[in-house]
Amino acid sequence: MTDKKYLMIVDHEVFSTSRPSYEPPAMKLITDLILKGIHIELEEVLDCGTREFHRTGERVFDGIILYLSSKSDLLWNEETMNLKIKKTPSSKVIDLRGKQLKDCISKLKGALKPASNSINVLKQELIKSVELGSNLRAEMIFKVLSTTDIFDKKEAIHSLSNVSKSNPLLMRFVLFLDSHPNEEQIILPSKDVIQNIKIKKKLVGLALMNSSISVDKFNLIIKENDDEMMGLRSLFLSSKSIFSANTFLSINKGKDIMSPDELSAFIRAYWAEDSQLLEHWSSIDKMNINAWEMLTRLHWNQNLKAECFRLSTIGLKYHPNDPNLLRRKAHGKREEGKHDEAIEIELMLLDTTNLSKLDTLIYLCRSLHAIKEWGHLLYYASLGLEINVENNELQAKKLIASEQQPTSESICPLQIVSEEIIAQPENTIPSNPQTPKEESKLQK
Amino acid sequence: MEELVELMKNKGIKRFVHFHTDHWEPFSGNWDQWGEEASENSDLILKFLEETNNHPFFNKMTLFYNHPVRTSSSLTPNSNGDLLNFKPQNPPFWKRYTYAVKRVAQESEHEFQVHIHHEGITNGDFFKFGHLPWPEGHEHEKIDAARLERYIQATLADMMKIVPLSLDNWHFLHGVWALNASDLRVCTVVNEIEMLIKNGCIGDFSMPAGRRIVDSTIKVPHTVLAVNASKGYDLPEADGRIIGNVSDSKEPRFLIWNQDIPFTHCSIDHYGSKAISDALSDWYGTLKIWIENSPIIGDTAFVKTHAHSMNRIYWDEGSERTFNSPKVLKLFQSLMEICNLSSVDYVKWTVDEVIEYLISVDPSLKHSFSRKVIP
Repeated sequence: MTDKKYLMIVDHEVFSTSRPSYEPPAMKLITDLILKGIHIELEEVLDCGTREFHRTGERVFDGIILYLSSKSDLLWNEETMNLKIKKTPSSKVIDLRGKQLKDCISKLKGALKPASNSINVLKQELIKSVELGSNLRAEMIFKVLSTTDIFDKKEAIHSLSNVSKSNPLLMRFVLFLDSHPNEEQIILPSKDVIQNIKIKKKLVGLALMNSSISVDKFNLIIKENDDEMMGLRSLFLSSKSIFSANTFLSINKGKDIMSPDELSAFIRAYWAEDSQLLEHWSSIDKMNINAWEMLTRLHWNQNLKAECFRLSTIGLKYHPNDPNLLRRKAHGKREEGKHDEAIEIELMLLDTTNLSKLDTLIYLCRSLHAIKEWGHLLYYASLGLEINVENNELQAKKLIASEQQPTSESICPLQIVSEEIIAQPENTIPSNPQTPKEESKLQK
Repeated sequence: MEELVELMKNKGIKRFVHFHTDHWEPFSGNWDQWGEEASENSDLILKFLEETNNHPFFNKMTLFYNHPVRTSSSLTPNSNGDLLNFKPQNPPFWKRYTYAVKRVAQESEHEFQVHIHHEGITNGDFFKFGHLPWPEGHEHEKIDAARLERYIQATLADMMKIVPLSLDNWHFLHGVWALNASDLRVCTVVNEIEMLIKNGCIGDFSMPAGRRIVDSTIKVPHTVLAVNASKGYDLPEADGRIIGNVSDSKEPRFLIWNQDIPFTHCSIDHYGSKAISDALSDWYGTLKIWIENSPIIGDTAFVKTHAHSMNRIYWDEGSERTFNSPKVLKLFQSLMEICNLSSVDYVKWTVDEVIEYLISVDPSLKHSFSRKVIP
């Protein structure tokens, strides 16, 4: 039997950030309900009026609790709140306007469960909403969970920063936090460009909690480092989550924190050749493909092929369909002489990505040549020459294949045999074209 | 009180009409994301609805609504030869806002009319787009008038989607009080009244204004012909005719509501200035002025008040609304009491009701106020 779910309809003040120190009375009730194991979600009364239900969507509830500051039901009643949409035939409406809170708790006695039940369900809902980009829903669940000490808000922000694509959402979460104990001691650089010093200090305080440095050390780096980029680098390397790292790198910027794309561009601009920093980045921001691509590319460019192969293999655990990582893994397999495995990867890249088809055919032909698969070599070399008839390498390989395999009986495409690596890429990622015959350095 | 009752009796009227013209500007803040501003604005609008419905004195205001239209600029002229374009607003969470405004329109006795601030988009001290690459030799006067007309039309079209408004019968309140280029720092559009008439407007309710220079020299409600000149309504060619006498005009005429009561004594913006606050505190002195100077049309005397009731200053924690300030309530309670003691009906009307009455007194106004709007 599933746990009952309750919807509490509240005023905008519950979600407002304009009065940070004010706790709306509704929050006390939410805490009580959560601690009694009751699954509770919130909706802003205005969004009931517009029927948009931004925070609960099409969900229906076993009970609806009205907790509104207005005592009168002239403005908000079941009809104007469109409650019909949110109810099941057996749902009850508990109107708390002008009533004592204990009345509500007593009416919900039948629903009491251990607090961990509802908290765990809500935590899962929170992650799901963040991943889906349902920002208002995520904020609502965060708000509900925040009413209990069982939920670690700071830890949640750090972990959610790995899945959130929305900076405004993270900033909303930060606004719900209590101050860092040493917040006042934090020294910020370039105060003139920082619009909201209070929020910036809150962010830095939160970042420091997930880093290996203290407030004093942070202040020392800010005050005494003549080279700004060196200071930022130290801070970045001290961070234990991407949220901390991003906060540190955004310290001189007017905005709160950079978007994931801005962060990638920043690192690309200043530290594309810094293997220590890139390695740290990929370790704290595993789901960011840019981190893995830059890291593996650097190793390839430095001719550290075995390391490039190793890192690509790790990166593929988090981005199994990324064409560039797959290509680098294939390079590694070729280096090791494991041409069958390299061929499997290249065949997949041939069919499923927008990497240069000619490049893929050239790599494929090299492996086929190495294992003397003349019939297939002839087939794929011919395919490549249809794209570029003047390609010398393919011409030479086709000639060899023709000499070794004079009949056309075995000229046919290969089949991918390993199901493990057959996958469709989730996104189309621009390829990094390289000219195989020149093995040129990859572009930044 | 007795002196005021005597004054009221001596006025020889049957009823005393109060109508309130609110500069209703509920749209504020940065709306780009999240919806906080949308909720806050909407909350206040709904609070306004809740607090004014059943209000003894302010349940029937005329809300001169400043509906927000989105202005964008381009570097090359559009099909109108202008660099400015107007479109309906559509920020995130706009539905929250329109929902609240619609509820006021549907669930109250308030009436919606039109309040337009165009000082930001036309030439003058407040023009916001001077930095654009305006073509060399372009004439502001010509382009401004056409631009204002497009702005008015865009406002009306969008406003009609959420509040009831008749395109050939609406009323106007000029932003920053500068009707028809009466203060060139604010408005340089000399054919504004002509344009308003063409677009279905009957009259303006911005006088007595915050700056006396813009006030008409005729200190009572009157009608004028459109005269395309700075403060054209005050020129002899405007043929100003006082309401109450049969005007019998063949041409469309524009109503200008003026009254011989100082601006400071018509406002209930109690946070507006010390002079206003003092006037409200001095309920006796203010009522004396109202009773002595309120214009009489037929058997009815009128007093028009105004305020900026949605200004956030009146909604901050612990602040008093315009319509609920003890000073304001005392003033109107006293007025009602004086009316009772004088056997004069105390009545609240909207602008439309005022106009209906004016036409009943002078039926020829029906013709003067008829507008033929080309769709």
